[in-house]
Amino acid sequence: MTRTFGVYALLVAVCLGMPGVLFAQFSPPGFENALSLQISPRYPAPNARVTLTLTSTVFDLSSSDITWFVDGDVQEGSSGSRTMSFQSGSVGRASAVSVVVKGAEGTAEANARIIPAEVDLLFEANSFTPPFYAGRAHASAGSTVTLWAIPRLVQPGGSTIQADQVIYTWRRNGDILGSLSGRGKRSITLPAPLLFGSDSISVEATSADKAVGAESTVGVTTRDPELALYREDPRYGVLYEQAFAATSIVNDQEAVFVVVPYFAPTRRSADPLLRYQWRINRTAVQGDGTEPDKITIDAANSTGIALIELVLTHATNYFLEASGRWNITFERESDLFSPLIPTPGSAF
Amino acid sequence: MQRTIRIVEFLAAAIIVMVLGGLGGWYFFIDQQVGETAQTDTARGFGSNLSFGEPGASVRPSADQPLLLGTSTVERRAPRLWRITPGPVSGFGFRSASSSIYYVERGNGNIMIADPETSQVLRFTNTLVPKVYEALFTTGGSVLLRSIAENGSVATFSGEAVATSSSAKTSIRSLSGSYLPADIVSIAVSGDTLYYVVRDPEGGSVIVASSVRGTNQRKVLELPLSQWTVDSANDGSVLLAQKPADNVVGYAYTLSASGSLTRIALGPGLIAHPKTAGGPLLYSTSAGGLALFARAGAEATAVRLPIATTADKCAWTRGSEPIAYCAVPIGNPGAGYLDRRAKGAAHTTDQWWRVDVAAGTADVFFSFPTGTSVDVMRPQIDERSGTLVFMNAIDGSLWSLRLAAE
Repeated sequence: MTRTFGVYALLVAVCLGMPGVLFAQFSPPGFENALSLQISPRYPAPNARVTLTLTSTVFDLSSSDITWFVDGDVQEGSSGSRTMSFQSGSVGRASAVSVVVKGAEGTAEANARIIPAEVDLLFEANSFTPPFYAGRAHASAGSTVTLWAIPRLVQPGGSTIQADQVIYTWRRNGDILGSLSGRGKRSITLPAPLLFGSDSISVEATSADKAVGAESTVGVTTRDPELALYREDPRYGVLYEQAFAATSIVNDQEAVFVVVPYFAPTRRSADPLLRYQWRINRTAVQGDGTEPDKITIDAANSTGIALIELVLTHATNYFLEASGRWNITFERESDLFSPLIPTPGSAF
Repeated sequence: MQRTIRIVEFLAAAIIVMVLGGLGGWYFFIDQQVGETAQTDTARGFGSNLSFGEPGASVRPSADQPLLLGTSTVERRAPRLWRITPGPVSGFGFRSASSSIYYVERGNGNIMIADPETSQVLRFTNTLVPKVYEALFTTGGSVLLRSIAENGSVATFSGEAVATSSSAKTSIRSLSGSYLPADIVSIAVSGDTLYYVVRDPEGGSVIVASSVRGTNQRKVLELPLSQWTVDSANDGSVLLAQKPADNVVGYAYTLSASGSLTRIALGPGLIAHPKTAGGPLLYSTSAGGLALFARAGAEATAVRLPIATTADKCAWTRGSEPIAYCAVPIGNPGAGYLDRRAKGAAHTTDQWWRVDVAAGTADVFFSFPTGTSVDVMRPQIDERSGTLVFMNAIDGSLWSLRLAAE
């Protein structure tokens, strides 16, 4: 206000859709749009680098004196520059940014108030994993993906905006998902991308007046289901901690094997829509009764390698096809290090 | 007449020889069958560890435990590195009034007590609970046994050892308790309170707080996602984190009693392990390789440590110093390690490192003997005995390591 040269103007930056930025405004006639501030990123995150770029259709900025202020402190390194960068504060901590331009046209000032906000975007697929699986399921063709937004938006007065009062705008690959967006719609469920596909899904969380906002994006990639073979021990249950490698040894003459179709689009491995096609030493065999994901091999009267092959398909989901093969050697202790030859009439 | 007598004598002798021969043949036949049966049972693991021991009997480590040097019937302190069990356990814990290690046998759900001061392993309960995949203990003495029900859901039994009339004359107890809701995805013990994530069949989950026995249930938070882990820190604060997957961003939060979430970390393949709420934190990421980070406090800057491991292979000490012991794989576990580990398709051979979060340093602390491969999981420190206790993910066996060098 005191830096007046002829014409004084406290001008407002013109920044379309700039949540997180509030402007003080005093605009004498004819100078409403004299200065424009662009902010990058569009939604300043907490403790992040924020860059402001000044443009003007009235002032010749190349010959003007430009002074930037953050919370009242002159940013010496940015004097004379059309751009200024600074480190934002924590969530909700407002930073007052102003820029004063002195030129032949007069003096103008633009103010902005930047309030960092953030939104966590969490997601998971509903594809199959066994009980006690310590990892997260990956999306596969035919599965669905649920996303959940956790916003942290603080109003200029310092109060936190409740998550159910936030406006959520969801986009998939840039296209707004209108029916899924709106006030309080912080969770959505979408079909996973088709085979080997990848979707970019983003959410924009803003206050109702768009004064504060944040954005987050995730990439969801589809992958094929993966088969893993385990032994079901009569005493310990399925030995999930010991998946069979492509070539493995079983120190027993009889064993029950269980296959787990990781990330298949199903709730349970014995889903009747899943088609398990087992082959033992190239001979097709059926799984165990009502448990098609299990197979029992009795090698009591034979020695040798059981080549177990499995192809998994789905009755209606033609994108699902997974396969696996394992060479399992049944060994008694006396057989160790002995050549193993399949014998006629053996169980496999 | 004499001829008749002689014929009768010959016949009698022949009959006796035939009977004796038959009995002998039968004996050798039976003996062979018994041998084969025993061989089969041994191969299946039967008899390697009795399900039901004699009352008060101590189960001595077997001869296949190479590290149990000097084990004898004489009570003596366990070696610094002690392989407590050869077979798989479901989990272990400590009691506030004891320096012993309590653990659950995976095959039968029996609670056992291992005393590092005497090397004795005693059976504490003999109630059969088959195929226990996971077990947790409360410091008050209760146990949570987690198994798979007939319908494929996860069943969680909460119980405690009680003396019954039949066991009154022995030290063996029975397990008494009740089942918690079905399909608990993850469960944590915080003091006398359980926090558990119950999967909703229609999608999403609910976080419930209850007493250890499952009473006084209170809904803490409803969530649209279900793949969570819940854990408790040294100060009893509760951690809620997404299950990790390689290259997929995960989030971890502290969960207040009222259900509010405070984010503590995020990153690809995130596994977070705080010492206390808002206090020192270890977290690991997995994106093309493992990286371990340390943060002294909520406002401090994270420092990448010079070791590559996952934060769940670390155990915090109980003292005020931000010291942790971490099991670090020898060699690079390779890309996609988290997913392969979760499937049981990848195991590492570890060595122990001591991490000083305040200084941002890590130093080798202990290496396992040559030929001993241990993939550490669920490590905990018992301050009372100054012992690191952990399971070997390769075979589920239980181990202890005294922190003090000898």
